[in-house]
Amino acid sequence: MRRHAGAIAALLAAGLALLLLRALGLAPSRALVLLARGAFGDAAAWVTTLRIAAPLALCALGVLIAFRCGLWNIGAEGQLLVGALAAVAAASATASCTAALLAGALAGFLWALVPALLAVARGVPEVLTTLMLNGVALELLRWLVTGPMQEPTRQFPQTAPIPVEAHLPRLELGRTGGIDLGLAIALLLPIVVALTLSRTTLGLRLRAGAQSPRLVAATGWPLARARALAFGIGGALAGLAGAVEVAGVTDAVDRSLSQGLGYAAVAAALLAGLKPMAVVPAALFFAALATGTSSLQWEANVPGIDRFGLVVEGLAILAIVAALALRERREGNAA
Amino acid sequence: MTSPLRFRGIGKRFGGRVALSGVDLELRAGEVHALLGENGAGKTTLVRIALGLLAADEGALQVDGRDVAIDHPRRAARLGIGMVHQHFSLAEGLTVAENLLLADAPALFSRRALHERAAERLRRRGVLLEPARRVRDLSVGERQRLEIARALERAGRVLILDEPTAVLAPAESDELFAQLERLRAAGLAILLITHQLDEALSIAQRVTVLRDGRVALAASRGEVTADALARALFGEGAAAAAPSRRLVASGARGMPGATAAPVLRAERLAGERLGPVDLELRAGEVTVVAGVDGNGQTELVETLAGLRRASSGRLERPTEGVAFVSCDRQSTGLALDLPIAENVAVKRGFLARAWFTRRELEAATRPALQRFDVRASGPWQPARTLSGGNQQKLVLARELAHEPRLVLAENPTRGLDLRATAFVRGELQAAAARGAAALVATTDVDEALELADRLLIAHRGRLHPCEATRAAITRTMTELAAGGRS
Repeated sequence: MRRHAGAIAALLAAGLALLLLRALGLAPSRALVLLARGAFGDAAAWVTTLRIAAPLALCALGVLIAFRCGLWNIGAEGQLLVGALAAVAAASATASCTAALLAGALAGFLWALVPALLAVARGVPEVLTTLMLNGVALELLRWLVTGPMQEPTRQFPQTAPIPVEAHLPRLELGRTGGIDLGLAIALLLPIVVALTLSRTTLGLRLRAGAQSPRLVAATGWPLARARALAFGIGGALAGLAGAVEVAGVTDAVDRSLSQGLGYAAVAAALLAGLKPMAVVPAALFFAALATGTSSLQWEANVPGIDRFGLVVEGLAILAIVAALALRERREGNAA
Repeated sequence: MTSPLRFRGIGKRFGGRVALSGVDLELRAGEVHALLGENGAGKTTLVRIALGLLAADEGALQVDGRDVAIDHPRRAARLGIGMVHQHFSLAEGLTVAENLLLADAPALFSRRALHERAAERLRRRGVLLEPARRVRDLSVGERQRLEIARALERAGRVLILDEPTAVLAPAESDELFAQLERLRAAGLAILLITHQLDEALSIAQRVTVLRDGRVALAASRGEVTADALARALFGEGAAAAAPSRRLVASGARGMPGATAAPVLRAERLAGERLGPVDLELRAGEVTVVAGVDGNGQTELVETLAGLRRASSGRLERPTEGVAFVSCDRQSTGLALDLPIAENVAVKRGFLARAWFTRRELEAATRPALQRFDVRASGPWQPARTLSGGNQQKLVLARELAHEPRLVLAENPTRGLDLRATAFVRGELQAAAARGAAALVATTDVDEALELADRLLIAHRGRLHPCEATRAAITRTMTELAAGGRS
């Protein structure tokens, strides 16, 4: 039960959502077929799903690092946006995708470092600051794409497209567009994070400090600094996701870049049971839901269907929280 | 005769482990019943079953001779069964009256009516507390009285107390016993969980001893001696084999500490609820800071450990080789969800490199775990699953394995059974005998007398030297409380 809590919660949430659809007049079996076909029906569907899954997995991983250090990062959305903006600026200046990725990560790092330092040094609740900084990041984006960073013709509220040389290396798959380096990064980094958390003294002390900060502080290790740094690195991963999005998919930044990936990342991290390796399937689940839902919207005329993904996201969080509460109760009884 | 609570043949299993087996215990109205047992003997499990927090696998609970199903704490309360836990559950920012009555207060009420009702209830139970005082301003003893009053408010027939004297000073303990005696005389059934044999024999009418989940002894006070109780607790012969720590600790003791340079030196050290304090700790010497809880001991130890910043004064302490043993195993001593091995390796000096394999982690921590006799099924078991005694041994394994220069401990044996207590005290003395400077803050006078090479009494954040005898401690504490010494 414990090991499969995430999978069970996902199934439970999907099941409940299907019941809702049924109440709206769409048979669950048909809805499932449509969702699956939309997400994985052909090569193009796969490519779309994976393109969403990659930045989502990176954001979820960033959120997860903070959670495992005992801090809440609800700010992946904002960190992603500033990462994307920095990536555009760096790509335009250098025409290098490496520079774009590094700039994205650095911007996300700095954006997350502000609430992290406030939290460890002054006790300012990071749940609030990260959440509020999402709004600040979105307004910053709006201003930049209508002001200093607006495309040269000044007709559209968006940045100029990045130079072609700065696009991420891509494995072309016929006319589907193909998958890019972002996916490889999203598959590699969970391994790095998993090993760092479980097999290094840094990870060990961060995990111990999440539960018993005084224990780690008493050993003389600078826990507060390390936590702030780890939180910042989580932000860097979300910023990297923004850079991947720009250099791999959108080419330019406009307001539509903010589509809730950073919030879905919280759900994905929880669904993954805060285990780094499980972030990949969890991100794939939500990405499939997103692409599947758009095809559902196309095929079945059900009002409000475009919000289906959000409904499942919310239900998944509730199911996870319920599963955690149940576990706590069982453990409390065993003690 | 009817009984307000009777356990009949209770059995409980956790996974493959038998926690309780065939336990019979009958509480009678108007008696104090002491429940003894080592950590892990099943006391807590038994009580949780009576409170509806756990379901028994076998047997039945009876109230007034009838079988009852207690599946929820509310059900237990309705049957009159209430409990006072070791960790208080009062709302610090609320008043006495609010804590006492809020759970059952109507949606709308006037503050004055609430206070009047609380005053009346407290008076009836013989509890002297001002209803308008905030809980954060109460002493530990006063909080405990409020907890008891609140438990009785909700459930008035059976009162279960979990080691109530562990947090009290001797004078407060006497007051508690007087209160329990009054309640007993008024017809309440009291189940007293305790580790102290003399406590059980002095105030309980009957005694039940649990060992390994079974009743090892059940008797009236008149039929049993302290010796028989100890044998029941530890098993035949085991009492004699209890660790003899003096053997370990003798030898290097009595080192001429005054000539050596101090390991730690504090001058006019002051901070929140602390000081000013002058203190020198020398190698090979155990300095005990005794006193009632809340007189700045926690603040002192935490400041010396580097967990708290002093607001003024000077502190010279080693930065390496500092051991810190807290009574709070939950959030300071251990990270309970992490495995045993990781709880050890979190301290510097166990792992050679910044990265490690599982096997390296096991190898690096095994010697310490063996030396300090941490009993577990394996190094990957979460620390949470260990008994209290084993948890504290785990803390010692981490803190003392590498011959620290400075040992700081705060109530290191609070909540432990006799054997674990002896082990912990023995290891603290042994560490000092091998050359560490040790400071132990404790509220337990016996512990103070047993460990102290030098004794200081803490009062309102200051330290007062005192001769290490029971009479001198009592005299000094009384004088300090009366304001006779400053």
